[in-house]
Amino acid sequence: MTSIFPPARVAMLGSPNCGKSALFNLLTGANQKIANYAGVTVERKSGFLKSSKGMVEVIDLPGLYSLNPRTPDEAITVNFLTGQVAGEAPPERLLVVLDVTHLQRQLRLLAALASLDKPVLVALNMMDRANPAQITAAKLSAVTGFEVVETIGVRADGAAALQQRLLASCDRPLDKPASPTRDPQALYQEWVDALGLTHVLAVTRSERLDRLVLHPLWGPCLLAVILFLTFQAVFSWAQPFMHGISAVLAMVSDLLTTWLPEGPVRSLVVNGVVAGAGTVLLFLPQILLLFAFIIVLEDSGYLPRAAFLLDRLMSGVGLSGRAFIPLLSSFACAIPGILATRTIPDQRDRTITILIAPLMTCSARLPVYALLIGAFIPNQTLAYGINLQGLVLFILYTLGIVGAFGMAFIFSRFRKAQATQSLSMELPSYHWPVWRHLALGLWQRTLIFVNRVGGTILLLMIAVWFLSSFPAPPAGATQAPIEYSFAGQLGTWLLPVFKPIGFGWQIVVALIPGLAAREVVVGVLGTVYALGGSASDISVSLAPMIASSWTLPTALALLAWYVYAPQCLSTLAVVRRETNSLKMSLFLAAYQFALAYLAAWLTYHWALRYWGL
Amino acid sequence: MWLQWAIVSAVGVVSAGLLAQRLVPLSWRITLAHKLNGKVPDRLRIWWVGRVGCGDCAPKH
Repeated sequence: MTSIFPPARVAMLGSPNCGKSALFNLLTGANQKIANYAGVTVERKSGFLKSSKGMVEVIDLPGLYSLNPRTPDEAITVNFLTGQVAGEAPPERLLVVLDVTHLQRQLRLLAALASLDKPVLVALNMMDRANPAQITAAKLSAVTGFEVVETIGVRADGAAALQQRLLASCDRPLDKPASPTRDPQALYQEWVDALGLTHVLAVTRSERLDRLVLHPLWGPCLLAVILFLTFQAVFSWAQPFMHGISAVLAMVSDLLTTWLPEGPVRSLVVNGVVAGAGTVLLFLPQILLLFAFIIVLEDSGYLPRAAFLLDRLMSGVGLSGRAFIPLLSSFACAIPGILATRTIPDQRDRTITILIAPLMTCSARLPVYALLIGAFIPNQTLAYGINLQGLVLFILYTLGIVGAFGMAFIFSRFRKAQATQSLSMELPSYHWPVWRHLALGLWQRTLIFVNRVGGTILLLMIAVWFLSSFPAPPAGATQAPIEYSFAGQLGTWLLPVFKPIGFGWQIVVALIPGLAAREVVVGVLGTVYALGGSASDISVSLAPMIASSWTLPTALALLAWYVYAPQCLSTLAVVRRETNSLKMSLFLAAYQFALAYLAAWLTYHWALRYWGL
Repeated sequence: MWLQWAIVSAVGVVSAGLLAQRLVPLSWRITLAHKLNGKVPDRLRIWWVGRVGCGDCAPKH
């Protein structure tokens, strides 16, 4: 049942990484991204709680430390709270989330929010890690005068009491601050003294671990080992699952070839859909494995430590330490990475981070890498059990990072910093990954990937099939029919541009729809070779087909191209929106094209010299 | 065989429309929807714009 009255609006506030989004998901059933580091939420999101009494709109906002915003994401929250967003009223009630393990610092925000003179409900979060002898909801409520509810954001039932209280707020109003005009600093000091929070609650296990993890020598070594093992596992562990998907695709392809009569429909389904979109689906296990590692690392609290380890290196190339999280997000996709740059207060630092974020290897590039590595790099074990294919993948990811840092260094020479931006980030406590978060994260990635394959990629593959099938070859044609098609003609027309870097017309044809979605390159190659060949099983054995058709220098040049290749159109559109500059988008596309071309040219000619054609 | 060509043609037309709707930027889609105001069914224009309102058209999309 829904109320005819507009829903009561509750703004969810708190310091970064206090667990707001985890509670928001529990309260509203939403699936917002959550992680164990600050700055994950950079936009406002809303969800609804419904009961027979009425409806409550819960608004999740980016974290903030005070009401004086220093970054664009903090400004979103403060503008919303103070009613400075055009056409939108400020929220009537506040839900302030406090992390009990960092209570001393976070009370400062509660004291500041008390000055807004709005009804407040406090969620005392992470109570599973609190010492009941030191702090309880009742004790905090008695001192601050606000109603306090205990929550555990990592448990499925951890927000049940909070949910009930929010719904009850339709009938039973929340408490307003007793003395809103008091100086927040004096109020804060009074609370800290009354609660006996003269020191931060000790998290000794995390501190002990940090002696190793943040060690100047062992810390970077540990980081390198973790990243190296991740890429080894991506190649080794995914193989059985990929073979399984490959066998299913082969079976589907055979069945369709048998069932459907020969003609254009069979060609479209077998060569366009299965050989195209189906081939992209093959790489789902590798993408999921990569994300499993990223989710476990971010949930455990390790990633912000990695940001600290890399801070010196990043400042050396002119980057702010705050650029780490946007760059890390870009390994999934450049778009959330670019949005995450809102946490960078300095405009110059933010622009440089936006320009280099697309050089981080996004997950859409993984299918291309995996196909080429599988086709050209032998699956052999080197010394100490190191898999050669995994090693090459690690090198490709490293090249992307090195390229990004190199470009940051160059850009920072042109745009001098106005002031030194030091990294200040709250280190969360370590905890074991929550398997529900891992399962949810992997499920979301699966849905995103399957939706892409079943949506844009499938449509692009159908378009590529049409372009590769028409017009029909003339009478007496001697070459494969596809070479007379629109796609074949377009590839041949553009070939002079790409011939110096070793690309054939098939690759050129694949690069164009790859601008819409990078993994389409794999699908286009599947369709082009399926239409160019005679056997339908080409659709599920693309790797050996290209291994016999291309030279090693060509394959290496294509890998080098994809390390730096121009971004998909969606990324360029987001860059335009975030920088409010079309010039910036065009500059990004142009410099990436030049960089990719240069890298491919150097790689091709270097490989030619060593291996020949 | 004519049935096969009919199916393939229909798939081609629908796919081209869906692909264009996904790839053409929103501002361009709105411009085209304005130009087609009164010339094509409103439901088609609403689908084309993607149900994001510009506030000027009737019915509102």
